[in-house]
Amino acid sequence: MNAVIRRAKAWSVRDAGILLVFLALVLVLWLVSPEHHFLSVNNVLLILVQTTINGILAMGMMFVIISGEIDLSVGSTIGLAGVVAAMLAHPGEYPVIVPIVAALVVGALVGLLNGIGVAYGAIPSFIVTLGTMTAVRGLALIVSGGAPIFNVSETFEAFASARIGRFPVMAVYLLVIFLVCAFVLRRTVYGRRVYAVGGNPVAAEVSGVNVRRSKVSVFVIAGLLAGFCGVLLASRTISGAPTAGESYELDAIAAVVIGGVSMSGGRGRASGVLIGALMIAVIANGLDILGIDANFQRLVKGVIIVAAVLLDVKARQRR
Amino acid sequence: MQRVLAAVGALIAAASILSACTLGASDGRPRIALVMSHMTNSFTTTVAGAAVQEGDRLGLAVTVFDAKSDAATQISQIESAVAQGYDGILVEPVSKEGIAPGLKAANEAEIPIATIVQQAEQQDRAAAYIGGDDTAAGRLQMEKVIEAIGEEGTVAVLYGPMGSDGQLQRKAGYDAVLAEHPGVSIVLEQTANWDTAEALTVTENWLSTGTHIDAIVAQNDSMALGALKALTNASRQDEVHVSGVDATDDGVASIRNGGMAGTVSQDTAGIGRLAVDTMDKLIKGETVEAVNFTEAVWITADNVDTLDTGD
Repeated sequence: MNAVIRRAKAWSVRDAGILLVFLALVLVLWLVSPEHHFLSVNNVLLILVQTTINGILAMGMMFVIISGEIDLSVGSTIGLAGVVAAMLAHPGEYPVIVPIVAALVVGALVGLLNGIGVAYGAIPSFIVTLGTMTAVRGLALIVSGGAPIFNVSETFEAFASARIGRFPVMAVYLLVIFLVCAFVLRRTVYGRRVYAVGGNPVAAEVSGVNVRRSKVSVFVIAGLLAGFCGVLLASRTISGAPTAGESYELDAIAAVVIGGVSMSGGRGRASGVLIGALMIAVIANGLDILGIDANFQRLVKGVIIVAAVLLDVKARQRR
Repeated sequence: MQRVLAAVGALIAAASILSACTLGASDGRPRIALVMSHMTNSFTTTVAGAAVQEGDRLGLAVTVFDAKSDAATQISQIESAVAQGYDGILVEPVSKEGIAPGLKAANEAEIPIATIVQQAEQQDRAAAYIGGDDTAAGRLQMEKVIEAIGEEGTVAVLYGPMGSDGQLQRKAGYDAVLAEHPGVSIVLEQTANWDTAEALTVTENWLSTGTHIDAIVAQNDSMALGALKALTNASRQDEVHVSGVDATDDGVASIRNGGMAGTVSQDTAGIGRLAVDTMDKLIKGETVEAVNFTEAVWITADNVDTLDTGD
């Protein structure tokens, strides 16, 4: 049991590999970008802002995947939470805390539903979350009447667009949530249980971990963070679009995989996932700056995902 | 557990059959199936809403089907409408080519079928087309942008999904106008797939490069709003002319508040009404024009109050 944890915590060759690939990518983009503009302060801050939503979503996804499960519903949750938030954010109606809390509640409820379906209904998480992904998107369209909700208050807009000096508040959210997730996974009993449940659920059960409750909790975390991303996206685009967040779950899964979390559960680090999310944002930002077609960006992203998993497999064979 | 699931499944199936029956109730009025590509933005919901209203006015029952952006679903829906004996079918094709089997099914059953918003590849199999002229909309938008920025300038273009009909035709309109104005050039172009958040990110990256832009030309209002937000964040909204197409509610609201400079209205509600009027004639056996374009109108703060939003 402790050996499993130790192995999960150890920095492997492959984690370093991800960091090296990331740094190489940054170096190349810096060299080829006009006037080496890629690493200007403004652009680095921009990359952080553009990483935030996928990065936070990936943190939630990380808990679920380390537990040996998957959550396909987070993109739809962003849509529903954003619509609900925008509806409660019209100027002069409620204090700004109301739409934010409402979106978090929506997210947590979807997560709870997923968790109960997986842990107590004994349905595979792929199926449960495929169902909620579809149903929640439908709900977002019904609630909004099939069109974006606009006209939000300035305080609501500031929630994602504000800056502390030059530093965007979006990046603060990302860093704080990353640090909290990293701490919880590494330094708490709860985190150790998440690894144990994903690594070997039977052994975890025998050593007294409540596997079901642990599974419900990771889905609630993923849902809660997706709800928060819903608020951020609605605030950032000053509208709650029912179609917002479509296929975001795939980018979150990509960040987790690139970051070296094992899809079979039980292994992975928050720092790797953050690098994975940064990598995805850097590809989009760098290629946009170079004026390269968006279709090509997809190609690059896909190649990197497969390469990361290939590294993962090779690293495991060596052990 | 399995038994419970089976029971729930049966219940849902029964409920859906029942609701289909009740929705199809038309009290003897002629029935039109309106098969929309999707119902997820203001454009499609406005078209469908206006069509249903016009049907009520003319004594026709208009039922809306949502193909959820899937060509195969759309064909199944047309086939069901044929099987259920609808008197006429209006379809907004998900895909120009993919709609062919649906047209064939309606032709074989001799039920009049017309395309709206987007023409089919085999348009001759449809009785009529009702909708905007995307090339004309693109022309009008670029002409007005050049009018605003002058004969020397740089524009950045946000496209819809590459290869989609709207993207190609609106771009053809842009290119035709740009060919007449050699002093204006496209310096940046990227797809944002009709999406506000994507357009926001792309525009942020553009602004980050420091390239001088006089205008951002977005192929729809959702993307124009994303671009505008990026400009607002950078406090540059007054330096760059932002325009879109569709005159959606949020786009029009932005023009009212001095955000977007303009948008092209293709008379969204008018498309829905004209479609039902045309189908009404077809059902009665009257002849109609093969192509019925609604007029493209440039909407700015000056004429925004004259706009018909279909409410």
